[in-house]
Parts: sequence; C-alpha cells; structure tokens
Amino acid sequence: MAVPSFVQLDPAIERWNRMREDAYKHFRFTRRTSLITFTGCVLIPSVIYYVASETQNKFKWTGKRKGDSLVQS
Amino acid sequence: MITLLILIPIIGSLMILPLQEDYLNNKNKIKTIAITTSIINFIVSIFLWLEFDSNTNQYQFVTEFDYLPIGHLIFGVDGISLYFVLLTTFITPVAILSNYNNINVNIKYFLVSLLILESLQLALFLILDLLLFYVFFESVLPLFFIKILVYGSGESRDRSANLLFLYTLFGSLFMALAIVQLYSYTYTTDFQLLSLCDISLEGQKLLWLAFFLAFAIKTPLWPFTGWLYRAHADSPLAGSILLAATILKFATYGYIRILINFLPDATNYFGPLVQTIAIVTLIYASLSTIIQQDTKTLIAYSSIAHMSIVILGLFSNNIQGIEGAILLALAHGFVSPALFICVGGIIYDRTGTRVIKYIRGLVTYMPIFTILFFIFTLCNTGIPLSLNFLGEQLSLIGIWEVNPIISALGATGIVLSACYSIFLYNRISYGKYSPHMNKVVLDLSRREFILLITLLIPTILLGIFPNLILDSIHLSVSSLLFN
Repeated sequence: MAVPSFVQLDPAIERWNRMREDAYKHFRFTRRTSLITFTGCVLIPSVIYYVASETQNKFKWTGKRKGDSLVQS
Repeated sequence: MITLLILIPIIGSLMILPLQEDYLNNKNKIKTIAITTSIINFIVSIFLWLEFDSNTNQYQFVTEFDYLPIGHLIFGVDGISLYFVLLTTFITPVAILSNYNNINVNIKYFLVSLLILESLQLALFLILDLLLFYVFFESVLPLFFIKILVYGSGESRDRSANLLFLYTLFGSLFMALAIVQLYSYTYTTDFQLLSLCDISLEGQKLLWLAFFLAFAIKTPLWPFTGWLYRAHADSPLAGSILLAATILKFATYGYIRILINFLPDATNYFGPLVQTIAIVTLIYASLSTIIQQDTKTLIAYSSIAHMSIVILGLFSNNIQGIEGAILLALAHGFVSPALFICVGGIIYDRTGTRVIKYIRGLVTYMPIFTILFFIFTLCNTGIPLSLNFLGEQLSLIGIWEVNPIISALGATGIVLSACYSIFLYNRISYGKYSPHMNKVVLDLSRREFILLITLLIPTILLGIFPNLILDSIHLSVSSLLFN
C-alpha cells in the first residue's frame, strides 16, 4: 500500500525504533532478566491471587449501622 | 429479519465479485455497492432494535433451519446480543469508509472480505448453537490472516498474521474439546437447552478452564497479549477497526453466553483467578502502554487495559457489574476505532509514519483534528458524559461488592489510562511543529470528519442517556444471574 511520506527520516530515530521493535530477538535469560521475570510472572500474580482469594466475598456493605462489622459472617 | 441481516452482506459481496476492477469507474461502483450494502444492513438492524421487546428475557426473532445438511442452524437475539449486533452493523460502514481511498490494488477482494466478515460476525452473535458458535468464532481467522498479509503495512506483517492465527487457534483447540465434553454430559449444543442443564461443579471446572483459555486469548488477557498489538500495528485501518470494535467482543460475548450462563458454579469458584488475571493484565498493559512509541501499538495496548476492566465487571456476579461491562465493551467499540482512525488513518495517511518521535505540533495545521482527537482521548480515559465513564464506574462498583481490594487496584487503571492517553495527545498535538515533517499537513477531509463525528455521537449520546441500552439488557442480565 503506497503511502505518501512527508517525514524526513532520522537515522538515529530509525535505529532506536528498530532496537525497540527487535528487542524480543535479543532477549535471553540472565540473572537480572530472570529476577524480573520471576517477580512479574510469579511473585506479583501470586500475591494478588492470595489477596483476591482471601478477601473474596468477605465484606458486606448493605444495611450496615454504626458499630456493625463489615466482615461478612 | 435476522436472516436478512446475515444475508445482505453476502448478497452485496456477490454483486461485487463479477465486477472487474480494471474497467473504467468499476472501482467507484465496487466501493458504492459495499458501503450501500453495509448501510442497508445497519438500517435493518435499527428496525430489529425498534421491534425488540424489552419486557421479556426470551430469545426473539428465533429462526430455525433444520433442513440444511450443514447442521441445525438456529438464530435468535436477546437483550445481550442485540447491542453487539448493532455495534457490528454500525462499525462495518465505518470500517469500509476508513479505507475508502487508500486501498487501490485488489480493492474488490478487500471489500468482499469485509462484507463476508460482517456476516460471520453477525452469525456469531445471533447463533443459538454452541458448535456453530465455535465455527463462527474460528471463521474470522483466515480472513484476518489474509487481510493482514496482503493489505497490511510493516515489514513484520507475516509475523503479525501468524501470531493472530496461531494464538487464537491454540485456545480454540481447548474450546473444541470442551464442547465435545459438554455434549457428552448434556447431549445437546442448543443454548436454550444448555442453560437448563445442571452439571456438577467438578464437571464444570475443567470445561470452564478450557473455555476460559480460548476467551482469554481472544480478549486478550495476560499472558496471552502478545498477538494483539502486533495485529493492530500491521493491519490495514479497516482491520484494526473491526479487530478493536467487534472481534475482541467475541470473547466478552462468549464469557456471558457460555461461562456465566452454562457454567455458573465454576465461574463463582474461579472468581479470584479471573480477578488476578484481569488486574495483572490491567496494570501490566497500562504500564506497557506508557512506554510505547508507536501510536497504533499504544492504542492497542490501551484496548487490552480496557478489556480487563470489562472482565472485572463480567465476573462480579451482580447486575451493575455485568451491565457496566456490556456498556464499557460497547463504548470501547466506538472510541477505540475512532482513535485508530485518528492515528492509523488520518496521521499515518499524511505522514507515512506511526513513530511518535516524528510527530509534533499538529495543532498548528490540524486544529479540527486536534479537537476531535482530544475528545476521544478524554472518552478513552473515562471522562463523565462518555459511555466509557458509565461502563468503567459500573464495572468497578460491581466488583467492589465482591472484592473491594481488587476494585481499588482496578481503579488505578483510570489513573494509568489518563497517563498514556494524555501523553499521546500532548506529544503529537502540541509543541513546535515537528522539524522532521518537511511539508504542511492538511486538516480533516469531509470523509474523515464524518467518520469521527459518527463515532462521537453515540459515545456522548449514550453516555448521557444510557437507558437506551440498559432498558433492553436489564431483563436478560437479571435472568442470567437469577435463573
């Protein structure tokens, strides 16, 4: 599809964009990337899952009066 | 009337096929037939909406074809599917008009594929049989694959097409197995009969996981988001519009029709899992959106973030959440295509680039575009008076009833969406006119203005008066929860 181009390409921006686009090609598991992967893919979801499962349907908001507990019995 | 909705685009494509593109004026004829067909189909869907009875939760306009050799075709519409049908028929003329002038080679096959896609999408939202639901769910993949490969832009469009095809096919494999297993439990694939069946929780769990995997890939949810931003970036504008507006809604519709309707106990059981995946998707997608430097990829990632709020609402197990999720899904179907038209159509057609670093100071020469882009940016962040605001708020209110901590985490998405939306708008609209652009860009043409206004009107109108939608879906959603 031919697109009219008004843009004066900057080689530095093109190189930088290519680097961003092809970042996945150069990925490898190092100590740093393994730690980030573990934190993002295992640790954080596990913490969120633990919080979600512990607090699921735990609080009841309707019809509460002063002094009533929000925790659902 | 339902059969007419599905047949009209097919008739239109059959009228286009014999025409030769090379002949004089035939290209204009082809485009006129395509746009006229899609507008006629939209008008028919408006009649469907006007005739729809909001006082019943039963399927209406049920049409059955049990004499066909291909299977038991049964179509019908209820309050939930009605608005997805309207969205599909509304967005198809927008998609055709968006690529009206910039596809010049093989325009015939491009428009035929768009019309056939419309039929297949409508068939998915109207079918009342599970096996045929699966067939129509898969049927859009080959057309999108070819659309990206042949008409797409970008050097890596073959990779994008492969990712779209293989990701979705992988999930659908599990859905097919689940349908077979469900049939072995119930001996039926009819939606109306399946909603009456009672499957044990243990039986529901594995089925639920299989269906959820297929829909999670389609939504997409973390960790299956890798295909969407690539498909959006390399797809032609019409493909991006359809992908954002309707293809992603296949999963939303599937969650409501199959998971919540047929497997309610397992849906309740896996609630924390869904909330976890939705929150992780929301935060990761929003943070990824902020660092994007390609305009289309940025909008694609923001789609992922919005769909995760839809999922939070759907699995809240109350009316506010589910109605909010449907509203947000519809709102996303208006605003996301508008943003794609702004960045992937208007700016890309003029400048030939999607890299944000090259684009700056557009307000200098494109003030009308800047105003409309600003309004859609605000709608994307969920500003009051937009349908997005209502959808997001109701979804978060719904999930607050179930789990306030998850709701609070979900609300961070509002802040993050403001970050990336305002970043994109500010970066490309203001500042000194970009030194990389060696010509003056023209403001909106009449076609582009009509496209954006067409998408703006329902977003604001329904944001002010959502009862136009809520009145029709209320009974269907209530019966979903309480039957």
